Amino acid sequence: MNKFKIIEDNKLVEIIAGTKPDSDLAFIELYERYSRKLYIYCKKAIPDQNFVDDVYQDVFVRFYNSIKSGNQISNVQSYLFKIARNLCLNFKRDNKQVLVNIEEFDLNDYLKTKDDVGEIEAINSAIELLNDEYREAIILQLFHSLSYNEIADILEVPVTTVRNRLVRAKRRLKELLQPIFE
Amino acid sequence: MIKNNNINDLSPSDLINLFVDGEATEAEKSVLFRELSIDSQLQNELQNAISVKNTAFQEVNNTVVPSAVSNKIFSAVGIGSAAIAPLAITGAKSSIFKISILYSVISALIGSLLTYFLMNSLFNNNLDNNKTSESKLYQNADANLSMIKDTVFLTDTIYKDRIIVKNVEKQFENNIPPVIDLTKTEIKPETVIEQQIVSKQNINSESIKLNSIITADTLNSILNNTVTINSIYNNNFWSRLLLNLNSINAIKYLPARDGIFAEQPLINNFSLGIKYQLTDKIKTGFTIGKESYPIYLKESDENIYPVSSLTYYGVNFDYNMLTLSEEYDIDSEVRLLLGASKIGFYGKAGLGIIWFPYYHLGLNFGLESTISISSFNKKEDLTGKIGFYYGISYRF
Repeated sequence: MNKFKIIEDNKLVEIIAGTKPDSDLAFIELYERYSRKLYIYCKKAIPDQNFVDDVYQDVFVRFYNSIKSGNQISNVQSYLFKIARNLCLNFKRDNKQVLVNIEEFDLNDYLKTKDDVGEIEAINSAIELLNDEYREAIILQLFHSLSYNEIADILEVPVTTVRNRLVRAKRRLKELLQPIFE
Repeated sequence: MIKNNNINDLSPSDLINLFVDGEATEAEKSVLFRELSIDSQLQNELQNAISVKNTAFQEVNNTVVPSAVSNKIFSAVGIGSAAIAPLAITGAKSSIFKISILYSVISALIGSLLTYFLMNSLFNNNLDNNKTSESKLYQNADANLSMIKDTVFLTDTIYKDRIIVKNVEKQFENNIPPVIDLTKTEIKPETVIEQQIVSKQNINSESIKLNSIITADTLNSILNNTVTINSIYNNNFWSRLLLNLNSINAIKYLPARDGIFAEQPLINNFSLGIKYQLTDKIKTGFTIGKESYPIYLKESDENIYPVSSLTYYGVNFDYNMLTLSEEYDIDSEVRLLLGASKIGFYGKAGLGIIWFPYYHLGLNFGLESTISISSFNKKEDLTGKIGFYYGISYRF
């Protein structure tokens, strides 16, 4: 068994800040722990797969460089999601022309029942129709099972705001999925 | 509109979501459970909310980050691919197949040469020549036989009335042919030897086995009808064959350089060998096995994938170093395997014990080390594994 698998996140960060080869192996271990979560987050935030890969790579490169620069990281997961969120927001800001205003779409235009499409496709399509604030909260909660406190930390808003956003997001989601689940 | 945590602002549907998220307070749960007990529509909503949660969870589990993307990240931060794939080999699958065939052929050639060398160096050529005709040898047994003191025989074939001697540690006087006619040979009391290996009592209850060591004293006992041989095993091809089924447990993996290993599979370690008893000391044969070898492998698409186990095959050479107990048929053995797997050369060396509580059925266990050689970026990587093996053997 790889010895790094039993080491906590914060300790791995310390090892990454050190010297090779342990620093490399520690980074690979942290990467294995969070790569899937971050990848799906970027996929949800940026629908175009070509751009997803670029942004996703940038997340981990910045994370690595940040550790090597001596930055203190108390919560690795939260730190990674913050980097990912900022990069996704920057990307959207800089590439507005390539993104479609999906809020103008009606889910029922292209989804009939959940038998016609997979249930996950229906849910993803519905999430895409939410506004940015609701969407990012619900992605963090639904796909990553983060607590409201963790989401508040990543989004840098009060917990009550997260709670309110999620309640509203799920109300909207319920409306969108109503014909799908009937 | 929701402005705070006041549950009066939340509908039962909202409470369901909070509950599924694990964020509902005790008061909210209490309200929700009360509503659920009387509202079937709400119960359906709860099922749907759980279904959505599970579906999202499955999507996360099914998501795979493309290897090429991961490799770009590692490359960007200065982590060489060797660190993530110490045992990866370059090249397409077709070349892997060619390597596999090449190693098989090389293994077979090495095995043949070793067998030839062992046969010629460990056997007395004259005795081998004499064995070409048993009838001739039997006729030669009419010679007046006598044995020198301390003689120890290695028997090749035991019949009721004669023994064909395969080898002797000390030569007979006058170049006596290696056949002893038990009905005619006189074994004098003074030929009692120093090394008493097979007791009379043992011979009474147990059969004399092929390739066992039989002493002058034992011969004397047989000649004087003081013991009974219960069964005789003929020296034919089948009697020299042995099947060996082993399980292999890894104790420690020794990665090449500073690499890491992939996840280890729990169960897929076994090997099956068929071996031929060349001499009482040496067996040779062919073994095929599959065992956990958690490495990374670079496939033809240039992506790196984890490999949990390897199938290997090779030529076996087993050498019985020391007989620990002749009475209970326990031997120590050295095992050597030269072979190949799809990543390249595959070799094993083991040290263990083989015990035959019954003539046909035996148990074996011991320590073994495995070495594999693979190439990555045109450089050879040598990776090791230490473990123990245990299994059963069947001899015909």
